[in-house]
This record gives sequence, C-alpha cells and structure tokens, in this order.
Amino acid sequence: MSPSIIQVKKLSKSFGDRLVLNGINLVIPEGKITVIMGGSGGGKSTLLRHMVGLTKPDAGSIEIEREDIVRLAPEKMNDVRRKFGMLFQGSALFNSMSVFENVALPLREHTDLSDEIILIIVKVKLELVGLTGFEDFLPHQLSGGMRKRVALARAIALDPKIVFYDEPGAGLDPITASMIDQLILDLSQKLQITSVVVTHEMQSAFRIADQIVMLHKGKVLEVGRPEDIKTSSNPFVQQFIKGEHEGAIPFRQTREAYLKGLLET
Amino acid sequence: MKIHQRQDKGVQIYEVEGEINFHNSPDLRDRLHEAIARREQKILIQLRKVSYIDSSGLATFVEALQKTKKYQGHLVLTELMPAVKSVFEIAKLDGIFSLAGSLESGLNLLRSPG
Repeated sequence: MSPSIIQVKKLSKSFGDRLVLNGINLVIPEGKITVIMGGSGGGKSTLLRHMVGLTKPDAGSIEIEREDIVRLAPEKMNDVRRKFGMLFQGSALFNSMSVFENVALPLREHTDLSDEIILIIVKVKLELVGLTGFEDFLPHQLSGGMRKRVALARAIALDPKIVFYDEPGAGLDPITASMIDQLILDLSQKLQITSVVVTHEMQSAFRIADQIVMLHKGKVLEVGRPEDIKTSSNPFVQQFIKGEHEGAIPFRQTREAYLKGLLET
Repeated sequence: MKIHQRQDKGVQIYEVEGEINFHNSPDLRDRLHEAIARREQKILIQLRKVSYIDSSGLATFVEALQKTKKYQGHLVLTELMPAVKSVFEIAKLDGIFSLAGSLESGLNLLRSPG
C-alpha cells in the first residue's frame, strides 16, 4: 500500500447528545481513491467536514501530511487548504459568474498570477474535464453534469494533492454519474491526486475505489478493497450492499428510543 | 528556483533549477519576457534540473511560446524529467512545443534552417 497522506485518530464529535463520530481511526493512502460509504446519518459527511477543517472535533486528531489540522492556527490552515480541492455536493458555482470566472476564482484568490497566465491555466483545466470552449457560459446554461465538471475544474485549479468529493453523483442520472466517476478515476491516475469520496452509492464506490471505508453510527465498520467489502461477512455491510430494508440495520428506532424521545421533548 | 542565463552562438539559454510553482513562476515569466521584449529569435530552456512543474509553470511556457511565435521566434525546451514531461502530456501540450532530449539536439533544432 502507498504511504499515508491523511491519518485520522480517535476522532469524536457530538451534536447535542447525538454522538455522530465515535472514535474514528482511518488512514488515507497517497495517490489512491478512498471511498467513504455509509447510510444517511452514518457520519460520513461530518467526517468529510472535519477532514477539510470546516468542523472541529470534540476529541482526536487529523493529520494531513503529518500536520495536525485540528490544532493548527487559522493562518496556517490556509496553507494546508491550498493542498486540497473540494467538490461540493451542489457544485456550489457562482451563478452570476461565467465558467471561466468560476474556475479562475481560486487562482485569483490564492496566487499573484497575471490574468494572461490564469487564462491559460483555466483553459487547460477545462480541457481536462472535457469542457473546452465553454468559458463564457453561465452555470444555468449548463446541464447538471457539466456544472459538476466545472466545479471539478475549479477544485483542481490550484493543482491540489488531495481532492475531496461530497456525493459527486448526487442529483445526476446514472449515465452522467458514471461519467463523473470516470473523470475522478482519470484525474486521480493522470495527476496522481489523492481522492477522498463520500457517497452512499454502492455502484459508484465499487467502480472507483482503491479502498472502501464503511461507516455506521459514527464508527468504522469495515475497511478494505472493493472485493473485500463485497465478500464481507459483516451483516451490516451485506445489508448495505444489497440495499435491503430489513436486516442488521434497524428500519425503526427501538421502542425504548421512541418512548424516551417522546417523553423527553 | 534558480535561473542561470547564458548565450551560445546566437541562442539565449536559460537553465532552470528546482521546482516551478505558483510562488516563483512569475519570476521565470519576467525573465522570459525580457528576452521576448528584445525579440530574441532563439530561446532554449534547459529543464534537466527541474523536478516539478505546476500549472502556472506550464502556462508560463505556453505564453512564452505564443509570444515568440508572434514575431517568428523559436522556443525549445530540453531535457525534461519524466514527471515534468507528463505534465505537458496530460495537458495535451507536448505536441505544440519543440521538446528535445539533450542540449545538443535542442541547439540543433534552433540552428537548423526553418
């Protein structure tokens, strides 16, 4: 396995009395695609928000290239942030700005590069995501899949070592979602980017992952290669893969939790 | 990043050393613009000591190529390390540059007529 680029150690986080992350330990190998899987409310988006420094944990550490970002001063965090790009779930493009301006934004904000150089970089990035010639379009003139590709071009504008993807296939039809998967694979391999993908889509995970991390109730249930996960004997993992509503994962909260919830509100 | 500059029989040679990145590529750009402002006909950039180049470095070379072509000048890049060459290939720009494997063949490219 490759050396690790991110190490998460004993990470815990509660919102109110709800323990969302419960002592997560995780190693993300460099240059590989790690997919974090799990059901809604399993903690995967919260874990992602911690890894990009948007949320602080109650306990534990997150080391990115051996630097603990939990305890980093805000100005130093900016340096670390330059190492990674993020693809947000809703693409998060600025609707009033052209495709070119959207992709150029991080270059304008984080570098002193001239307009001429930025123009060339944006053209190269757009070519990498297959959108040469779309510089002057506005986001609303593009399809959902194309918007996602613009967002991806923006995420890689600063040549990040790591790209985080939050539900990259969300809201896309299966064919477009699979095209985005192919793009994630291409970019990871060509640019040797470390990819961390949060998704609940099994097919997508099996298509792109070098490593799959299964989260359930804020804990790491299982870590392995796609083939290991497919053949896992863990009933929770199997239920998730098959998408069955009956199984180890309860469909409803227990009667006790229901009554407790009712009486305490 | 360091830039060593020398002349060799009408060829302006720049030898770059170190990483070319967002921080220092503007310096490289300034140096190349000096040569471009003088309308140097033959520019050779040696990259044998460049271990890494990012998008801004790549863009700097693309711009230099555009500008030299405008006045019919010639730009050659030599001795690219594999990691650097692959950056050109990924961006599909290896075809538009004159790339040479050695200093000698780079000089020959510039000295050959046409």
